[in-house]
Amino acid sequence: MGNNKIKKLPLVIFKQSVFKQQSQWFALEASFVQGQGRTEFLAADALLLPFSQLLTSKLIPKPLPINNTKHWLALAGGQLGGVSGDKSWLLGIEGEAELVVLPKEQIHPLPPLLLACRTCPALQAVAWYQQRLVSLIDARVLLTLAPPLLASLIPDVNRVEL
Amino acid sequence: MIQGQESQLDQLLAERDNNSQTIINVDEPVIKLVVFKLAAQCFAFLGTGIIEVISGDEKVYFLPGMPASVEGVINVRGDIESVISLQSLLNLSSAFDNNTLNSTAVAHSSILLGRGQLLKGKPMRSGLRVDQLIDVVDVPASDLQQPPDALPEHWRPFVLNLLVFNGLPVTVLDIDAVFATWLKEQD
Repeated sequence: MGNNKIKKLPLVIFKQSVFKQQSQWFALEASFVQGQGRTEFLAADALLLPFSQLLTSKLIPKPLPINNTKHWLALAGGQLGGVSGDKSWLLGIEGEAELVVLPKEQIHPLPPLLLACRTCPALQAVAWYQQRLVSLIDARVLLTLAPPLLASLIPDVNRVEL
Repeated sequence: MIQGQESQLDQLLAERDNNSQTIINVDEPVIKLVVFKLAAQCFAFLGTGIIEVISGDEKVYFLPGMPASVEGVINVRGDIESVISLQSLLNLSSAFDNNTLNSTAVAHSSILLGRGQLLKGKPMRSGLRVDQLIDVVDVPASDLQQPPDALPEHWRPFVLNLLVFNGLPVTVLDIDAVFATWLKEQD
């Protein structure tokens, strides 16, 4: 990492509906995102987990409808661990993601009160971008949240055929 | 009148002079309070716990992944501050129930920017939405009364004192206890 202070941060930013609220802006640190694409070109057996489902810490037994999921992001390290190896999963999002670079002044840590009471453990910080509030999501935490949810989509995560 | 004899006026003035000298200047300690209304009841925080009063119509940005009692965040001169509601903590209904933030209620409301004890090395602070700011006043410390035994059980952890202000009963809340209890409720 060195002693160079970070002045800007590349982020992958995308819009997503959250429950009954209007669309919100979210972002992932760009270094954790390997690629993106449209769901219509995905293989039928691809494992796609909607981002909206990961926003709540409570595991929902029945997956939320994914009708609005039109795009996917591939996260670095997004593999399902287990006997059968490295079957990867994709994060489903509603719209196309965009790469932006924000100066550090526009990025803020969560106030201590919010950090202590957040219901989504992946919520890491917030940023201002084009006069909008952007929720910065920790991709590493998403990777830990995903496997139990994926287990509800497939009978046994550890027996996924490649 | 005989010269040198004290007149009645002299006596009267002397008495007045003596009276004024007998006035004792008592420097009674005063306490600054931020008095506000929430669900038609009056509450107050100690002035030391409130950094700033922000207009209620300041834009609050919804932040996903938060408990329902977090209204969102505001931008205060470039810094991010949370805005929370105290209704569920105090078992109150308010103008902002069911997320119906009607414009009239918002226009009359205020956001008190409160500061409490340290949490993980940083001062606990947040905006607190109140229905109406009534006043910021200095009151004699002797006006503050201890809370009665009949105080509702759920208020006991964070009620410091009671007082009567402009004929209204006011409950003085401990902002540290309010933050701590609010956080505990979110678990």
